[in-house]
Amino acid sequence: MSKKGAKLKIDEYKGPLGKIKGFEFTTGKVSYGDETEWEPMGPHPKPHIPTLRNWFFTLMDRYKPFYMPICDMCCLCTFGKCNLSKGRTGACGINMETQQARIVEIACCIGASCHSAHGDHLLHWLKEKYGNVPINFGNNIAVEMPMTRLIVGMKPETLEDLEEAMGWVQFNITHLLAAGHTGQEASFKDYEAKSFLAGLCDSVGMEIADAVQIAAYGFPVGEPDVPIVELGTGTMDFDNKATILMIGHNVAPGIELVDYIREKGVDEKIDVGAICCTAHDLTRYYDGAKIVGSLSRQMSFIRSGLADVVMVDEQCVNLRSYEQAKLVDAPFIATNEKNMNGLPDRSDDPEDQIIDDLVSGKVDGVLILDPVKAGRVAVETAIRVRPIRKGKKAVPDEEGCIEMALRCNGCGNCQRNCPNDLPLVEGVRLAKEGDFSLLGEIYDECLDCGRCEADCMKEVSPLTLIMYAAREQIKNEKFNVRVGRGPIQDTEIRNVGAPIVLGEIPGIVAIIGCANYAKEIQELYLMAEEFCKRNYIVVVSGCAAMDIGLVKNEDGETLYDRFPGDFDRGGLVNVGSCVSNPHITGAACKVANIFARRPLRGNFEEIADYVLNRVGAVGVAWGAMSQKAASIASSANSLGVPAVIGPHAAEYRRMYLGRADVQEEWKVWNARDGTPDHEVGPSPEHLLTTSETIEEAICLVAKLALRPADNSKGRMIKISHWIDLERKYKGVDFPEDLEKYIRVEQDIPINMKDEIMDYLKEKGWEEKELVDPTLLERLCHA
Amino acid sequence: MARPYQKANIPGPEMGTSVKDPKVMANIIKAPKKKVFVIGSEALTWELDGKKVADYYIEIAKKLDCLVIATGHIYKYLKEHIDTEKLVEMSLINITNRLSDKEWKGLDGKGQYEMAIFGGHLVFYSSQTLSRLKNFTNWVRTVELDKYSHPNARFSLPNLSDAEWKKFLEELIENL
Repeated sequence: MSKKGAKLKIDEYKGPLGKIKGFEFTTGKVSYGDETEWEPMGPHPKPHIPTLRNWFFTLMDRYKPFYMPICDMCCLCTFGKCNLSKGRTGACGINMETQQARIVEIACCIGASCHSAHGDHLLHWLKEKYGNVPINFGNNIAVEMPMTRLIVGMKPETLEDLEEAMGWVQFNITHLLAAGHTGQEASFKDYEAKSFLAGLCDSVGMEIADAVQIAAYGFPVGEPDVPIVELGTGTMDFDNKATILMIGHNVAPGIELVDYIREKGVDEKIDVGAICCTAHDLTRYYDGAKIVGSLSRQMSFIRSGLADVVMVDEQCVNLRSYEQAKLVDAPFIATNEKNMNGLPDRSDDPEDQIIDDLVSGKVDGVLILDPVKAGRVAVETAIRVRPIRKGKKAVPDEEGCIEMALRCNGCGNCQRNCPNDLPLVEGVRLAKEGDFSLLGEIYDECLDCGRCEADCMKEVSPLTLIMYAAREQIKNEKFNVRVGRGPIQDTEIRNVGAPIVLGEIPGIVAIIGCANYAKEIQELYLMAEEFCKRNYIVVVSGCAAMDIGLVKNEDGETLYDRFPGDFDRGGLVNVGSCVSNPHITGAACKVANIFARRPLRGNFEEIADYVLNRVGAVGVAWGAMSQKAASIASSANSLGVPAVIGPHAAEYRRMYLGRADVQEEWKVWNARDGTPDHEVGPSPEHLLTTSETIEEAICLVAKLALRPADNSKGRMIKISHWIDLERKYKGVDFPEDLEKYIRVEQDIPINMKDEIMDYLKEKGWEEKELVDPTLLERLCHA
Repeated sequence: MARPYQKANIPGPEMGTSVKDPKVMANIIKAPKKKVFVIGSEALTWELDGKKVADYYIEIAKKLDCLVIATGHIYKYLKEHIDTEKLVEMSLINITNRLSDKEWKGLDGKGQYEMAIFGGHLVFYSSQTLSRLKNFTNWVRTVELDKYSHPNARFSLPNLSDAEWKKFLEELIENL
């Protein structure tokens, strides 16, 4: 344990030790206890840019960066614009590959800094409010911050200890961002190595953010049976209560708001709901809060007049939310310095004065950076403004909507500006005749972005017409979601460690990320249900955790009602918000640490090699949209966890693809005897790839869960699921490259043995030696 | 070329050509000896007067007598209509990766393809995979048969209505 800063000052001493006058001793840090007691230090604590470069290059030898530019030019400096297509270089000398890698690296830095700044804000706010709270997750979780132990090499015991880890994050992000300047890095591979390191910063930044809120707010610490809460745009009691909508990812003002409601006993007068990760984190504190939905419900909720007050914090907030709140006379409160909306800073003004100004309409929005004050103002304002605004909405009635539709000249600009190419022209044409059915049907495919209305010269808003068409769904949508439980317990890891590593639990499927889907918002339900039913462990977080809850079966049950919250076969584990994602990657590390007894401390390379070769975990970010999602993917990929992303995510412009058809790229060392060049087959085939449809993605996830170290029983189970899914969704007899994944006859599913043997004979298949795989020569025993 | 279908998708100075005449398009796609037709799952969801776009593409594939790559989950449908000797199931990203490798020997082991024809893909997704081929290859000519003007394809259509697209595909098939 350590304490930051110490000072000893003796002005004057006279006694048995003699005389001392004017003695002063200061130090930056005092350590006590022995940090080495918990684990010996590994080779790579607190990595800097060069430290893990060899590991990242090793990954890229197999999973080559694959670029799909969304823009062929560079316009970052005044040399430009420079056209980089077809082998050209820019004025600074940069080529297309390096420019793409550079943009991705900058995106990863933005993502990592976003989570980390969020963590930094929470850390200091919570220290100020609660003091130096211990980080103690109870008896079932001894390894409480695995990513920080792994990457930084420290075991934080109090909030104060996290300053050191945060210092490491901030140091690296500064250096990584500097590399994005003109005339810095010439190699795309080195930019990619930096993106991986940004991912590591993100892991630590996220882990700090979630650890401090768990420790200080008393969020659940890994209990599987956390409460089920309401999910959906229709969950708030609009008819009887004042409603407050929060949007964003930083729950600090939301917690204060809840505390104030409790303190004043006004929960009968007020309903609280949120969109995005603030919603998850709020319900981890107060299960009376409602999860309104994922990011693609922001505009429709506000414009439909369902919020009496809109309070935003940071990240993924639609920048038109203030403008939307004004349309419906809902007072708007910004609470975070990263998102101040140009509003007057009223942080130091008396609460009553701010409330009066908002209720009277003297001002329509305020900035309050004090979370306590923001929470109090929101509650009092909502109660007082509700009878004044009377649910005012900015969606016209049917007559108004038809009138609006009649202005449309059918130019098609709206549809061509729609990210999903939705049939808006036909939908608006039908609306002219009073038929809103098509617009109602596409509500669940609409991203709520408003690009359609932004490109209309006739002041027609297809988005508003969609909201009108879906008004009943918006007002009545009610589903369930299980509250984010936070970390995975060490005891759970002990139970599942062996079956995961041996392949008998066919995989861990982590469904995470944003809601930028190419099809309807419920698409991920199909994937989550498929893998839960097949006894994979399904772990979810963020917007995706909400969206898989938006379907009920014939018995009126959501997935959360049907599958338990245990980290075990067939479990559906909601870990929480975006910053809870390190609990998922951390679980993979804990398998290596707790089950396989590999040391974590400063030992990233070895643990990543273990996870890549042994832990069948696969990430899915089907609607990935943000820079944060990019850095989260980098953190998972650096650790050897492959990820599948949706079609829109091709616009990230870089994948890491393996080539299953190039045999020599799948060679490993045999750790057992130290011999090189053992060909183990293309597992996992890719580290980061898009998929075209959810059906294709489901098959791909099953395939990516295969690992070189699977035992034959485990490989047989995994292959059995993979073949079954390929047959179900694609109608193939066998996956096209099945022979590459069968190492020995014992890998073949028993019920298909004869037909697979016939298939293998046709392909000229030969058995392969089973080895103890590693990409690191230093880990070989001989 | 026509303005890119997705209005903000202006990649830069290098943009392909819109082909308005189905006879010209027929000549473009007939000419190369070694080509591949990559058909995606949207061809199952799009219909022109009650006929699936996939059915038009199947007719084109048969006339061209070329290898067909089924992406997404369309293999299930295509295998009912196309000889499985000429049909391969592979993801769009994997075929794009192989096409952008000059040393790749093709699925027949005889060498890289001269032309890749695409159809049945989400417009924003295929724009990205076409960007890969545009920016990093000079050996594969790309053609898009979906109704959109694709700036990253060497040849694509000029943003057609469904009725125009139907007519285009019918005339294209006639001229193959």
